[in-house]
Amino acid sequence: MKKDTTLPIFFTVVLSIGIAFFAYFLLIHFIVDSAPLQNLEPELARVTNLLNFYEQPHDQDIFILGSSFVNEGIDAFIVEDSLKKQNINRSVYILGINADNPLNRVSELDNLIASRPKTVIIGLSYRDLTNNTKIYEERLVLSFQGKKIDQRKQIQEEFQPVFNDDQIKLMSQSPFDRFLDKRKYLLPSIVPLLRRGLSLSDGEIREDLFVTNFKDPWQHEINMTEAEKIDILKSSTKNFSENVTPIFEDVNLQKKALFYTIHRLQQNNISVIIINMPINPLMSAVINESSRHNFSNFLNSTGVPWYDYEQEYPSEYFTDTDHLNIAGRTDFSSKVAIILAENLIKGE
Amino acid sequence: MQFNSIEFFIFLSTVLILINCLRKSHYQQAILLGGSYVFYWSTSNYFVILLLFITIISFQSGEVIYHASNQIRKKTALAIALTGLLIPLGFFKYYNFGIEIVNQITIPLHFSLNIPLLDLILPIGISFFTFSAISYVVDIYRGTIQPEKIFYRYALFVSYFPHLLSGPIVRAGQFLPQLKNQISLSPDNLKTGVTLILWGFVKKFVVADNCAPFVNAIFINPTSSTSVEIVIATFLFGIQIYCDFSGYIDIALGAAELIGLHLPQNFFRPYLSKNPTEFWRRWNVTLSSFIRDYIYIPLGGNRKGAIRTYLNLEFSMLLCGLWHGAAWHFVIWGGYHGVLQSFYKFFTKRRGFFPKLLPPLNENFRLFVKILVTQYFIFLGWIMFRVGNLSDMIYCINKYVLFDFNFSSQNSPLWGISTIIGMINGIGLYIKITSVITLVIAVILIIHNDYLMKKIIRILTTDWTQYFASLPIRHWIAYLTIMIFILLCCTPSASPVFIYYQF
Repeated sequence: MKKDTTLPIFFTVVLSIGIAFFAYFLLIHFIVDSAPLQNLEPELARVTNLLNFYEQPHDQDIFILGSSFVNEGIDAFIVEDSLKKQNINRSVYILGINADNPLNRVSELDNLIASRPKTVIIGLSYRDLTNNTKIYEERLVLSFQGKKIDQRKQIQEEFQPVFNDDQIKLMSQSPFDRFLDKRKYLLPSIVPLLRRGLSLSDGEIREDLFVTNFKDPWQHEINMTEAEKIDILKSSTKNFSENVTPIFEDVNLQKKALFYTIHRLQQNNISVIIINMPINPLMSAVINESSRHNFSNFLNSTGVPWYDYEQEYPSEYFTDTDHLNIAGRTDFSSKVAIILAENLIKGE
Repeated sequence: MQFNSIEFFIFLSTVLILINCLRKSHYQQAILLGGSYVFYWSTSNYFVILLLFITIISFQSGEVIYHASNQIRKKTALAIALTGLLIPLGFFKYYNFGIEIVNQITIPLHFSLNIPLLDLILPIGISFFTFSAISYVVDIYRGTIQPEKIFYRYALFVSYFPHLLSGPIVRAGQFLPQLKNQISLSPDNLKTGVTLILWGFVKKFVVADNCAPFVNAIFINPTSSTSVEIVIATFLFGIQIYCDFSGYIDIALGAAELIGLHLPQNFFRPYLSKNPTEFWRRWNVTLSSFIRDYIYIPLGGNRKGAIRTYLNLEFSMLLCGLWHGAAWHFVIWGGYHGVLQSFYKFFTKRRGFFPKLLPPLNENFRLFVKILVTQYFIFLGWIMFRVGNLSDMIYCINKYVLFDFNFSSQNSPLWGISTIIGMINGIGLYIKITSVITLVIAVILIIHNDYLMKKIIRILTTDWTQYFASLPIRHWIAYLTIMIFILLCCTPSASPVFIYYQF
């Protein structure tokens, strides 16, 4: 080998790799890392803010977890005001994530426990305990990002039966892998930068507020008519012939995740309350008795107090087949306050 | 060990360093041979024994065939060799397919054999190294080459790691003469090798892998898709399979260039083909030339009359399809290409047929139309290649050929593209028609402009890897940096394996 002519090639390759990585680093740093969180998907931005929220101490505060049922169904200010009337001064936070389920929450448990709330209310519905095991993988990555290696290893061992290999792999991403993986945020970061040069639409302003807001409920702009609700239900249940939220007797991954969550919270002296959230009676009518039976049996087996509000409200109190409207939310929030007061007083 | 893994780069660097340190050619070849077997072991574990088996069988057979005292013994030895080489390929690749056919055939005969299928793993690369071995013994039989006397050299030819897993299919006559000389790393080879490897990576990981989600989204359940979605997915699949396969080949050629043992190119801009026959002189060239030399020509080629020519062509292409996989849709795809080529041969025999169809038109325009029409049929064939289910295939072909003009984009899995479709849908009819006419006129004007067409043809036909590899180092660094940067920014998180690994 002619060292005087092949070594420059070797050095050229190394140099170009270095320059390319540096340029990539600059792009990620100035476009992705510095971009407003709202440039991410709203759910992801909300999760990121949630993890930041957990970093603050919240001794004696009340957290309400769940899906959009919680986000749209409970007004934290109404709950706080109702509690104040009973001389209970607590801050209440609505920490729902759309399409959430127990399995998705598991990876954020440590963060939640570290903020030391007094009580956690878990707002459940039938959808949360089906055999669905879909996990929003970015949530896994985000919640594991800041953890030390030995913490992550311990968590992986605990979670082994709950998550699959790909998800475990995501949780154990090295900082370098994470750095490379951030390329998928380049386009979502660049497009809004252009878009935000123009005026924001009302929808975007509302989304931005929601991403950082753990107090105000998410308010739908449109209330469906009864006929529209029936149409939606008809198409999702194939003319009312299918149960969209089947729950079986066996302990599936969602149930395991919920057991685990309750156990960990109680281990850390955080009291847990479960509420079976109100749903539209039209939807309630298509849930078969076997699913209802398995659902309530399972909740009984958790050992924590649970309250059944499934059939509490008529269809007029819902914006669609699932979510409470203003009237429903106002009434339900005061009922949540009653549940809280009962349990807090009992606890004292 | 995948080409895009850190392990492969460490492996390749180690091989290069060791080759460079050892001056004697037989030590260098021993390193390459050992490295190739380690490479195959890391990919396929105990199937390395199969690789050794194929190597030994073909090597010994070559000797026997060459030294056979008469033609009958030669033929017999060849037949035994081919049987020995094809049995493992037939077993691992086609056993279950054959059993399924037997089981299905017996059902209408009112007795069911129900022979159980075996849980077989297809050894990666078996189709490729078996064909290389077959070409060796057949070439010896024909007297084209002499048998290699040194076993490890022959073993290196069969197992040379750059081409081991997915080709190109190398002929002994192209490769073995290179082993007579010492391998020395040259700056030109290093530059060409690195250029090719990066080019291949960008094709595979940036282009092909970013097309994959769109293609999969449509073809996973095509019967709910509109014509525009099927056409877009077909187009993207054509891009995906070309970039995936040719990207792999570029990486393989690049790795070979680094070492200094060259492999043949396998793709020559197939989507610029003007007819179906030309397509197969540009697409997977080493396979198509293998089929031509070892199946089509021995069957008689085009020397036994028109009907026999078409039959030979059809049979060869059916086998080509079957080589790609033990499934009916590959056979249909192969047969379809046989029909295309036969039709083309039939019509071109009638000189002046096409000029009558395309009366007085500019040469560029005739070229453009020929390419467009050819690619229309080639891409139609890709539907058969991609869609395994027969009823789904018929649906997709129907939607491709009989365009339904349905531009509704609701719930289209082609997000982003569905936004464009929705925008088109929202435009008034008058504007749509005007836009189409404007586009057609613009294309015609460009085609009739000789200067522009020369530029376009030059861009499309330039060997860009050679161009970039020949740049001075101060400009070459820009190429490297840009390509690596593109890879960093645009490679999707989850990269599918190379498509041709499954063949």
